[in-house]
Amino acid sequence: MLKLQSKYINTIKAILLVMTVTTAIQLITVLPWWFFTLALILAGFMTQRSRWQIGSFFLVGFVGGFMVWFVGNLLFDQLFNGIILHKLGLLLGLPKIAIIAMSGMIGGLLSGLAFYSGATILKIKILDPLK
Amino acid sequence: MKKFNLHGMFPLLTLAVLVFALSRKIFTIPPLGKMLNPFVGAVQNDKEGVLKAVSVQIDQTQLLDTVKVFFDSRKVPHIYARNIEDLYFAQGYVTASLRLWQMDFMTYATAGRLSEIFNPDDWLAFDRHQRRLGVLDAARKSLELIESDPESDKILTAYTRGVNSFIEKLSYKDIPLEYKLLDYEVEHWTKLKTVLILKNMAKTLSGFEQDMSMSQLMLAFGEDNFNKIFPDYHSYVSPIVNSKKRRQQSAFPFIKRPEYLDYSFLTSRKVVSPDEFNPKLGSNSWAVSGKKTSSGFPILCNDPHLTFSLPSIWLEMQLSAPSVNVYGVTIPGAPAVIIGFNSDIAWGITNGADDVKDWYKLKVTDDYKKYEIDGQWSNLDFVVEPIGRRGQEPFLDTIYKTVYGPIVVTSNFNDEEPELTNFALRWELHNPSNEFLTFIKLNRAKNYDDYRDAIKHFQCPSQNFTFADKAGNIAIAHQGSIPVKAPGEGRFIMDGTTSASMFNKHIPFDSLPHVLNPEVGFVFSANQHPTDEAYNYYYNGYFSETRANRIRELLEGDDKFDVNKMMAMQLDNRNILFSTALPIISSLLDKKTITHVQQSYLKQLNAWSGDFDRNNETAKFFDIFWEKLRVTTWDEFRQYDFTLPDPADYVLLAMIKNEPTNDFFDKINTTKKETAADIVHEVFNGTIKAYESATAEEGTRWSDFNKVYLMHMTGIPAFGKMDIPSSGHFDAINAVSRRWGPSWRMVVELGERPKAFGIYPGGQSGSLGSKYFDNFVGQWQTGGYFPLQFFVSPEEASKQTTTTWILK
Repeated sequence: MLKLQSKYINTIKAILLVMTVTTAIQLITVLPWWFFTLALILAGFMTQRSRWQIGSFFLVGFVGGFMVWFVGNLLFDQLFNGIILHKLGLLLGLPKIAIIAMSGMIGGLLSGLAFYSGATILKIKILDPLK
Repeated sequence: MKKFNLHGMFPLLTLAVLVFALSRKIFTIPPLGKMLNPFVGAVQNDKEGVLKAVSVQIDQTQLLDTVKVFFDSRKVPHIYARNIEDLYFAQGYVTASLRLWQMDFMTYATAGRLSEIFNPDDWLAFDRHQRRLGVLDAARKSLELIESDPESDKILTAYTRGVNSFIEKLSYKDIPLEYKLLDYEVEHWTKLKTVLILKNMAKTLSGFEQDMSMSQLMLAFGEDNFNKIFPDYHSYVSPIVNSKKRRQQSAFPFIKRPEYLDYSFLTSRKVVSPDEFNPKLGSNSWAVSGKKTSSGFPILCNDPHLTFSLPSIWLEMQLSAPSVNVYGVTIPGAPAVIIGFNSDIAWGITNGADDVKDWYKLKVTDDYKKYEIDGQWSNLDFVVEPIGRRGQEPFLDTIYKTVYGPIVVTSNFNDEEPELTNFALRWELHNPSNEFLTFIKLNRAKNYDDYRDAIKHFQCPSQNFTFADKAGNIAIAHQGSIPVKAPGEGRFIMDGTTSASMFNKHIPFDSLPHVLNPEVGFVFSANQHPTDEAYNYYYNGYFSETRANRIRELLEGDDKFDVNKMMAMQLDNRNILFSTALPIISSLLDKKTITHVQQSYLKQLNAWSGDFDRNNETAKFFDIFWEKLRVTTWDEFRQYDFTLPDPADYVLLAMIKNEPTNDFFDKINTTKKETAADIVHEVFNGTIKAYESATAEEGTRWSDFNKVYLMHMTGIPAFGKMDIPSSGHFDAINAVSRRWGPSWRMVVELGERPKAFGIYPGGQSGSLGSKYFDNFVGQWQTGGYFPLQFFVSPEEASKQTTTTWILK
């Protein structure tokens, strides 16, 4: 029971970690837009090394990335004029919320893959057929 | 041998592929990863930024001194600089901050570089055509001339540095959305780009010509008919300037068919391609002297009619430095105010509409090495133009040049306009000119002499410059580089094998039509004939008379004009040709037996004033009627499998009135010989059916049909504003049509302090996410005006504005 609770808490912690890393890196807007994925690879790697029990790395990364991109676009849309995503929606034939959800999916997918990649990077071994 | 464990690599590779795919445009899908990133993507273009700040300091702009920019509540910048260089630097900086993508995109289109942005398969032909027209080449030559004038060069350099100063501060997050969407990078501004902006205007306004159509018409209908239906002059003209001296001989005599002009000369294929230019782009401008105003001061009005676009073609601005304080509209990408006023003068502009573009048929060897002129074979010059292509090597196009100008259509590039294969294009636009100097000088002009000194630099397109000053003077001038021609020259395809057909002289500046303080107390232009028949030179062009006739009628009809009356005049919806035609049409119908239903429509028509007001229910009826009347009368023109232009509407009106039995009224596919009355009656019947069917679908009001479309420059409907129901007609003063119309309305009353009003269909910001992108449209549509805040000091500006930028 305790183990399960700890895994649950670790998962939430890991999601928060993904969100923090994703947000912090992306706030440095001079970096290339995909730079956060490198940071997440590193985060995934570190998380795996520290042997956190968090279930699926991909899902954790996905949820964290989805939240940042979805909430980020939603929040900026509310804080700013609320015009541009509406126009993008008209362009793509979708309601504004679908555009925001699409951004969440992209953010989620990239973060999930990056976090998972970091975790699996230890599995990349150089196999020597002679041995 | 070592091998990687690919299983561990798989997620990493997938991620890399995904990042790669989401970073770039794939077919028409924008780079979604970059675009939808909340921190740098599209949503970051959703704010006003420093346009909304109360006060902001912008450093590292490389200015000589501090510049203050005050934005009023409509976000019109009022720029206060302490020297001229800083003024134009700041104009460049501020313009770029408001309209960077628009001005940059315009230069790509003008220079023939769209293949660098879009799919080259779709745009290479456009770019090649554009290069071959010689616009980019002309811009390069003009830049050399401009750089040779120290003052112009100083201003152009300062403006360019200002634009680049803004560009250098941009990161991906800040660049306009269009760059993100189309996925290309912002490049540095150059002086050449600024010249291209004005060359684009010259191209738009002087690009229309009908040389091939007129040649075909002359051959098809013969000299007598040609002169009757396509006269150079007719009785319904209200010229800009009336000649003082009477001449025995008209400037517009009977036009003979040129000896060389026959079917074998033209081409073996009878083709006339549709023209890309719109001859109806026009403008109105007038000035009345203090004798005709209630205040005793002159009033000047101007409303240029151009293709509607978002962002708007115009950007409002006040420019102030020790030697200049001017307010008006600027063209993003070009320094100075283009149409506006200062404390002493106001000026307006309309298109001169002269024909300054001609085609010469050449004899060229098949290998494009030689062409014949005066019996000699001369070497054909050529240049190889590299045309950049997105994702591909540049395309190298060979452009051949003759003494007349470039060969636009060649045997290996003739899908469009094949009838012009191996013709040389001679266009005044090709000649080096410095139109900037006109505006720089007009901005600081204080009197009539300054105005004359300013406009003499304006070469292409020919323009009518209206003028009024505080001292009470009014003036107008038809200005531009207009070749001296023999009667009929330039109306038809020219013979390129003889140098005698080359135009070597231009009408001298002092002989161009102009007038100062005419007795009538007003001057006006609306793209009509610049002169009467007594002018000393023959010229031809694509003049419109209807709006001018209405303006003259209204200006003659009042001696107590004020600002409000002038606004009402700019919004006048009457097509005076139609109101003149109505009683004539009605009298012809009276001679016929008509049914009860027809009677009721005729009654409705008789009660109509010719006004295309928004809610008018007869306007559409007459609009359909006149179109059908033209089609039915000029059925001879529709025998061909290509489109020929109809004669001017005033020619049709004169023919109905004076020659009702003319053969043109006789329909070609009937045995009966029809007269004007027969045609009018038949068309009237047909109109009832067409009107009832159209109105059943759309509604009966004129605005159900006259719906404006402000198209975004990308052509993306989601970014434009569609279906804006409007009053107006292209032949009314309020020339609101679907795609073009009054792009800026301005009324200025001079006096101790100028009192000015204006509006344009758009907004100051070019940013798609800004509230100021299209916030003037509602007011514009309903005929509203904004008071233009002309400040006389930075202190005054500071008190009455909401945002201040301090550029250091």
